[in-house]
Amino acid sequence: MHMKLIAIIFLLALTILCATATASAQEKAPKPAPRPTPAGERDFGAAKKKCPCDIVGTWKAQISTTEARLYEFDGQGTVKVLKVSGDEKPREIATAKYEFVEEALAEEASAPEQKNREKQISFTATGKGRIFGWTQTTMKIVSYDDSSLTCEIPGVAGTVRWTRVDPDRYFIVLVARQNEFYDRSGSAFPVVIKLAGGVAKFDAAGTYSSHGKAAFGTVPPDTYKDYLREARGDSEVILRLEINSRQYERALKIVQEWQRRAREGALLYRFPDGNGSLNNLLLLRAVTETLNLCQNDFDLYKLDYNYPRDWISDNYSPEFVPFFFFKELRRRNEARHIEYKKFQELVPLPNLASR
Amino acid sequence: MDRREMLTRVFEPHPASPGVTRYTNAVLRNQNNEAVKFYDDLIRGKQCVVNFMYAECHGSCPAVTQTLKTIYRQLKDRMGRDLFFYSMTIKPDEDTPAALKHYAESRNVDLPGWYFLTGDPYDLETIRFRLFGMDHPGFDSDLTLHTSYLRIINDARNSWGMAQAFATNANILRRIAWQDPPKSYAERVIESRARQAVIEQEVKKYGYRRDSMS
Repeated sequence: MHMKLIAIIFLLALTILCATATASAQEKAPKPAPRPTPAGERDFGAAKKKCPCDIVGTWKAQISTTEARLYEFDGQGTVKVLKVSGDEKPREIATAKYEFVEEALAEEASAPEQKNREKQISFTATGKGRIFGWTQTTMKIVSYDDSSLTCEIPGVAGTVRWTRVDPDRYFIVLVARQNEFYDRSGSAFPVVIKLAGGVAKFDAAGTYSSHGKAAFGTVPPDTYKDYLREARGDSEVILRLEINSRQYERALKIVQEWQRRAREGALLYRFPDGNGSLNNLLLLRAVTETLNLCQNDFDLYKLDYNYPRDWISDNYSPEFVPFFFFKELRRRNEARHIEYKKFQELVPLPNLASR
Repeated sequence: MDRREMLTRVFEPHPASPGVTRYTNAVLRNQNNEAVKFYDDLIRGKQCVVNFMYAECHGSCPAVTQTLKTIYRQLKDRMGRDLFFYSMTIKPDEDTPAALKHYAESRNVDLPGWYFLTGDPYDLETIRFRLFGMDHPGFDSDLTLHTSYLRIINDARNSWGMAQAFATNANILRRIAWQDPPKSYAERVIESRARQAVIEQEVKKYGYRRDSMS
């Protein structure tokens, strides 16, 4: 009897020890890196979109470990070149007029639908300083994405890589609930945030609760602010991601287009007599897909109604799809998710409605 | 009928027509670079056949245009009077009025009562979903799927139908006829008598009614 009691106590202690050790190891284990979305054939139902090459903004080229050049392109065709040495203040060394030129490649001219255009920037110096050592020159863009471009500069061996410089920060928050409306579905919308000079600008559109009923359109501030807090339980999913300026601009454009559609009564699926939740699916799909338009930045789930790969739309009716879609995105991009405490430090949220 | 006559002639919509709430009143441009309002100028009180295409399309669009050209010939007397064809682009960024004019002329379809339309992508997408939407985001997002259907609208009757663009010409003509304006009582009596005569002949000859309904 005594031996049995000792054996039971020993086994219990061993079980507790193992469980604690496993939990501790899981906490300390690094989060898995996101898997890139596999490149494959064109999605069923998706129009082929190209990554736009937008040169406007500030670009940095590292010359050496202590010296760099800043190229500030404005939207009016003027570029300023600044020299940055160590901790010194950037000094303007040249100004020029620039022109962005796209030319169809000769060998692909026979297939107009698949046209790939060669991108070049021609410069004409306007001040005393020369641009790349010339008064007039042309730079060829070899490749580009949202945050960098690789170019060939005349007189410079090999290629040069420029990275985009942006003092502002950008975020996207994907939120969804269930068990909120009479049919047990719930709100689901993206919030795009620009943080400039310590001031946050919010834009949100999608399905939200208005007096307990589902509404579609511009999400009121009191509603979206409520979702910027920590998710509550299993009935809510929130994914907070930091994005770059190009991703923000594209996502904002989509959000604003759907805000306009709701305002002007030009929704693609008629609401409320038609299936209004389909509008939200188109919005959410467009916003998430635009994040990966130029590079495989996030591990996206393909909400493309391609069975059986798209198991979410296969298993759930449209009003429930956003919740499971965001839940899957959260699972896939857990390593990029910004925890609430850190998000609070990053984004000031004045006058938050209390829960 | 020239454009002025088309715009000034009174086409009465059906009292129950959903009007701009379904069709929108987006301002579009035709191949002659003339601005037209989608509902007020093109749909209101009229019978029309609408399809989507784009000028650089090398797949189904040229074949659909060729089918419509054949249909046009058979309905020539009505075209531009009480029946219209509207071919709308799904790629408005590329298809300017000049590009559509070139497309129409190169295929000999720059004809009275047949308009090639372009406009703001926002408006064209709204119209595309309103006319061809299948309540399925997978199908509806596929631009190419919508190029193989014809939407037949008669706003004066508040009726509309659909035809497969690759169906036989007879099938398409029959579907257009289903949306024709209602006939007078006298016309219907004459048609019914003629059909009854055919049925009676068939019954007399074969002992049963054969294919007189087609």
